Amino acid sequence: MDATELARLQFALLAAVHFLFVLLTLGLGPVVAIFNTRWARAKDHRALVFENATRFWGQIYLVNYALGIAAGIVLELQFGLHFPGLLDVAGEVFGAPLAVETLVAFFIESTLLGLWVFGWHLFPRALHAAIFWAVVLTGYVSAFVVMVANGFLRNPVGFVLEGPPDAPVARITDLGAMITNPAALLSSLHVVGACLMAGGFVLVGVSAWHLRRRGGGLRLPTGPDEDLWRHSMRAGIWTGVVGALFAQSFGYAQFEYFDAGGAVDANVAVGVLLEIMMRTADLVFLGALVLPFLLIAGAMFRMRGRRALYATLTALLPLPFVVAIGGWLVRELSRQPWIIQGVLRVDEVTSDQSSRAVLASLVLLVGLMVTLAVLDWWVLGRLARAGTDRLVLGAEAGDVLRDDGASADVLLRFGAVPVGGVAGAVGASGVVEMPRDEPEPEAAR
Amino acid sequence: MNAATWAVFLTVLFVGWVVLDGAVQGAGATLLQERDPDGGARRREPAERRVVLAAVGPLLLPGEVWLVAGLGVLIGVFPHAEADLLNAGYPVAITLIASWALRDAGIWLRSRRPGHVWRDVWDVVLVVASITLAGSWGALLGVAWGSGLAALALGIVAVVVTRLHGDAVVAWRLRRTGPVPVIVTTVMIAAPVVGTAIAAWPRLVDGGISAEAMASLGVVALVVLPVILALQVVAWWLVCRPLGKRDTVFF
Repeated sequence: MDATELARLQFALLAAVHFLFVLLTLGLGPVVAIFNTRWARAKDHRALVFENATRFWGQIYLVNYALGIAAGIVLELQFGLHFPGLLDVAGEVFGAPLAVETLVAFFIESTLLGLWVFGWHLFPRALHAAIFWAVVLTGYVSAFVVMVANGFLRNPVGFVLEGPPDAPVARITDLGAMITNPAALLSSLHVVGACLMAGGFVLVGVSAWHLRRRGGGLRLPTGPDEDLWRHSMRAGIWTGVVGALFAQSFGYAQFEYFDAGGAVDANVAVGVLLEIMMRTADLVFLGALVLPFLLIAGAMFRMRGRRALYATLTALLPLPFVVAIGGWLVRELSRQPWIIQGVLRVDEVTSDQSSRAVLASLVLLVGLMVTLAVLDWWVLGRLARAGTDRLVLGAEAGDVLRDDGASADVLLRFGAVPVGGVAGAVGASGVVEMPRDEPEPEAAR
Repeated sequence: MNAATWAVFLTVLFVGWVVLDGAVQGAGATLLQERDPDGGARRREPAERRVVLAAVGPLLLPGEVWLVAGLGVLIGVFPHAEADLLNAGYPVAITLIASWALRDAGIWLRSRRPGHVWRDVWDVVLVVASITLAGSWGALLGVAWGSGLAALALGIVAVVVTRLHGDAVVAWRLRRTGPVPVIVTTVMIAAPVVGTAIAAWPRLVDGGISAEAMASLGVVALVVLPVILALQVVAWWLVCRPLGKRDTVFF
């Protein structure tokens, strides 16, 4: 393969990894925000259920978000590293939305998320919930701005090429047209649908796994834990229904611009992927029509054969992720060989790095990101299975430190060392000296 | 905003990153070493490592956004300067993003499983990735100076200063020292960035987009700036408090 092909492959693989994390971030965010709000408002025994729901799903959200950022950072530099010509021609049109995304949306989103995690015991409950709503909102703004940039590549509008023919520069002439570009607007709503579907499948799949182990079968949940999984199941089904509606309707609406150039016929892989994606979406859509009826009077939690249903729902968890990658491939492959449809080809913008250098970076970055992604999913799986057992997010500092064999007063003693004082003595007496009488939870495992 | 204002803004973003994330990198680089006041060094116990990560934890998310935003401004406002820099410093840039991803994964994942082996391995990864991240950033600054020697020198300087900065911030959060060492290391860690911005100034300003596009993006930047700064002040307030009971131990 030449350097262009390798650069394309590297971008595609890294973008796919990033996209898988974005799906869950956007899909799970609103549900965590709703649980958080219900916890902030709850006055009765349900406060515990919603607190645990916020902490459990919030922790899943965070561990997923962590790799999402890392993969996003790796992706951000890909344009400059491998496709500098794109920025030479379309720096103003394509680069501007990316600058706005990082500066406006991501900056605020990530800072707020930090405040949400580390201000857990410091802010009033209502403010704490409001912070997470702002995280969700800025996350969606962020996704939309990226889709404006991507939509411009797919369906370039609102710009004009200026300068000499051998070195043209794109200038924005109509910002409104760029933002209301169907390849940005319709596709964003379609992607939001795909994200909510992914969030819904994860909520449903994990809740089903716990409900299957917990038996249940009564009209009312037997305890706060089963109550939590029932709430999560309901939230997941409704999230999935909304997602399926969005993904389906705005998916078909996209054909308005999508097949204008006969893109589907030009590439066999695109046609096959598109067919698989649409048929799977139809099936999910049918499921989305049936499942809400099973929630009437809690039928799903009591009916005969529910264990088989739970097992199926858990097994289906990866489905929306696979389909979403398929959908993304359809969109990107059908644009080839153009980087900006009808304006600029990929091989015109690639950097003059040798194919060897690009291959080396491909192996390093893709190998690293895939390894980290797999580790992250494994951790997510373990966290999902552990349920509400020993949640770290939102726990008291002392409780968490006990996991490391230290007592709560370690933290206090650390905070209370006089300036220039006996730090060594504290290090020796406070930390090294662990509570020997208690078995260490880690060692015990 | 014109090219000069944008270049100053970009420098501020990068300074913000080295100061805030530099503390996390420094704490990561020295995660396993405890220096006692009598000068002796020893390996940190698991609980001590956790406390160190708790001390700098609130800085991770509000810190790394500065570099993400800086790179966004580089792409959106100075795309030609960015392409030149990454073309000249290709391997350095690849090392930077790889070590960044690894460092982030290390911090987020190390405490998510209880086992000793899991955490010990991640701690070593965290040390190596933090040192590499600081060093490759310094080297990338050197690339902007346009010389391999500068890359090497600034890389080494960055590694050393980042360690001092991380140590200073952790010691201050644990109230073992006052804020003065932090102020000193902040100046030390910011100096190479400011110096590089001055050295690379002509090439940076020439590598920008058209004046009109800069002006319209500038409006967006000026509108969000107060919000960004207000949130950063709150994040900084979290870190200024002595580490205590009401803090969150997550990393």
